[in-house]
Amino acid sequence: MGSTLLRRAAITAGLAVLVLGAPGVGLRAADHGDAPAIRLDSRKDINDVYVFQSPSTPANTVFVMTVSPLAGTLSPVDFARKTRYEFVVDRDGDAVEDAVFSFTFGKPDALGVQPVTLKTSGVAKQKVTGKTTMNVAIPSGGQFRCGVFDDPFFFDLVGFRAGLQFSAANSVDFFRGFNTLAIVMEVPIATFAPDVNLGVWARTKTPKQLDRMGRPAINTVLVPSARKDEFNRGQPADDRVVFGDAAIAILMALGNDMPTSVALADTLLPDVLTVDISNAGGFLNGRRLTDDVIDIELNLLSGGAIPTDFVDNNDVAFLPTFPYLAPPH
Amino acid sequence: MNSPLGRRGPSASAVCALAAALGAGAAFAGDPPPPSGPEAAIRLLEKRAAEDPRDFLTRTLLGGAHARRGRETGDLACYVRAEEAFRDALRLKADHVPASTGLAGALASQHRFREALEAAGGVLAKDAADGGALAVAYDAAMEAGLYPRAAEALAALEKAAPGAPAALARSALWAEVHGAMEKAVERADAAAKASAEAGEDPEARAWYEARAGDLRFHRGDLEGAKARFDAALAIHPTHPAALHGLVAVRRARGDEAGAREILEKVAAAAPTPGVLFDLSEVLAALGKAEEAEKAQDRAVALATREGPWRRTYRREMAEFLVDRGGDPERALLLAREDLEERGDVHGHAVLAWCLHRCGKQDEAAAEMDRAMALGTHEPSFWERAALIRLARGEKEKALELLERVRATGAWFLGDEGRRALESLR
Repeated sequence: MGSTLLRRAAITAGLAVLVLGAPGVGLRAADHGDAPAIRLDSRKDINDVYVFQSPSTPANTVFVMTVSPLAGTLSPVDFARKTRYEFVVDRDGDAVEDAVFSFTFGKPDALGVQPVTLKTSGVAKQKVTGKTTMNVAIPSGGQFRCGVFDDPFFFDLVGFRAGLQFSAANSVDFFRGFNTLAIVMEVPIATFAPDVNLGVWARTKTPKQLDRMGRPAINTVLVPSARKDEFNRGQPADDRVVFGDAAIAILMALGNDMPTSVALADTLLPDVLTVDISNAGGFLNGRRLTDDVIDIELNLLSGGAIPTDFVDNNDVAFLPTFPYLAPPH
Repeated sequence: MNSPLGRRGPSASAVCALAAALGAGAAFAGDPPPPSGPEAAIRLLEKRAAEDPRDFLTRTLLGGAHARRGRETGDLACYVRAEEAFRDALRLKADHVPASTGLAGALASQHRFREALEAAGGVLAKDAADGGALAVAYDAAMEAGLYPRAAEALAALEKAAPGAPAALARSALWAEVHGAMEKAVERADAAAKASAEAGEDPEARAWYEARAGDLRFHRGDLEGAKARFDAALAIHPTHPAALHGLVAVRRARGDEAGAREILEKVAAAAPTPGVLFDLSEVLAALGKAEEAEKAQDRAVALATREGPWRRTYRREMAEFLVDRGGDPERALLLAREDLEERGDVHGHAVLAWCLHRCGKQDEAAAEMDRAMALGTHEPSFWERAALIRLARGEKEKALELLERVRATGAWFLGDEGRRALESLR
């Protein structure tokens, strides 16, 4: 009879740590763990989005989405099932989707490898299947690869969270040695012909939209804490109207005057990563893996008062060819 | 400053690029994802924490990794280390919410429920919708028997994370404690389904399945319970809650040898006092008196270690001492101590039983009434309540309660309850 009580006690006590066992221990960085609802399943939490001209094949555009911060350390190393991971492309500058590249994942096998399916819409319609950890060719041109990689983001997150305490002596890349899940896709520039000026964002849906991201740290910095879920579930086309005033208030609180704050808010909203895919340049033209977006944004947001976090590059070198991200640690 | 080569310098960078490219050849040849797990995570995080004395974030993550290890092994020492790591993080940054939430969880896991509530309350004062803090606040309030506070936390959690497995599982527990078993099973099933659909990690999915099994077991549905425990073990073959559930099913079917087989495996991997006391019971039932005593001695040694062990396993010790341990007076002291920290319905039931064994039948009856005040569906409550009533001469009520136990599942009746039922019929 005693064992009944004992078992009950054990199971109930287990509840206390179940939620905490889920990852997302407050890594509010580029977009890591930016909202309470997202933190419950880190695999649906978009870390970063990159769009750049391929350094090895300039006729191709590369799209990268990273999710599941600290994959393998405290977060899972498989993509969530029944979840769509999407690159959304605006081709005419209205921040409304014109093309979507949608990835879904199946059950991992004994080795952790998952089936993956890419469906496209708004461009040549196709359905491509493959597996994670492998390069998968796209019949209309290009390829994709999904799996665990070195986290390409570099930033002195500790210094940032400690109140912008950056110094050459102390600052280190918090993301050194950490892995992330990533979807890397490259497609010919011609995919979007005749358009070359695109707006790109990534989103996760189940089918309800859970997270979205264009430029780094927009939701993290420019949106009040209580509205981060609302932002994640919103549409870029509404950003200026819905979040513009809040962003201006935050920019002013950061020390900018009203005209500067308005101009910055107009530049950074809607949260879409704008890119001229015929141009090899980097952030704010798209975002390359090597772009020190933190320094650029610190300068921009602080009016030059905080020029750097003293972390200038990733802990390991990126690859010169597809899939560009470094292998996992 | 924004150069891609940065401080590392061109030649070093070129070397790194070459090394990475060479490494990529191997790592990108279709290899499975790199191994993950709490041990590897702990080693990595400890190294990083040592490298950067400012790094409160890594220390917070380290606390989380220790807590995960504790969940998988049942080893209380992991929660002690988790608490240390979270406190280290908070020394570096006192307002770091995830460390505060983690600390609350680590405290709850050491059965310091009131401290856990206070820590979670601190987080919720800053962000009333923090899912982690709400979950800990709910769990700690339930264990402390602060049910109105638990209800508030649950309502807020369901609002903050509607349909999330963690919220559904807590809703199931609430329904169970209030006797609404249909609803409890429905919520637990929904939690398991949602967890599977979301593709949560195996440990979590197995836990939800085991919970659905546990509720079925208590409703008397042995087949349904076994199916869910089996499903849990198919997901996570060594999940402690699932294995423990399967032990209960086997014992309910009289398969003590089968129960022993599982318990010995669990005891080898995660020797907690609860497991060892159960193993001792099973061995005794199989006539293995000497082995039973050894298991019992190990359980007592673990449960009475100084530090968090003694507090955490106080209730288990009271349960042991009151009957098999032959020291109801000491059991009563422990049960009273336990109730001060952990005033849930189960705490009242244990105290009631200790009072009964000490011959304090009026107090025992009053305590049992408190245990049953919420209408909790718990056959062991009914059996104990019946035996207490019988000791007070209330035969009719005792018979009613014992029949209720038997109708739920004859295996819930212990020898004493069975004999009482036969004599009362």
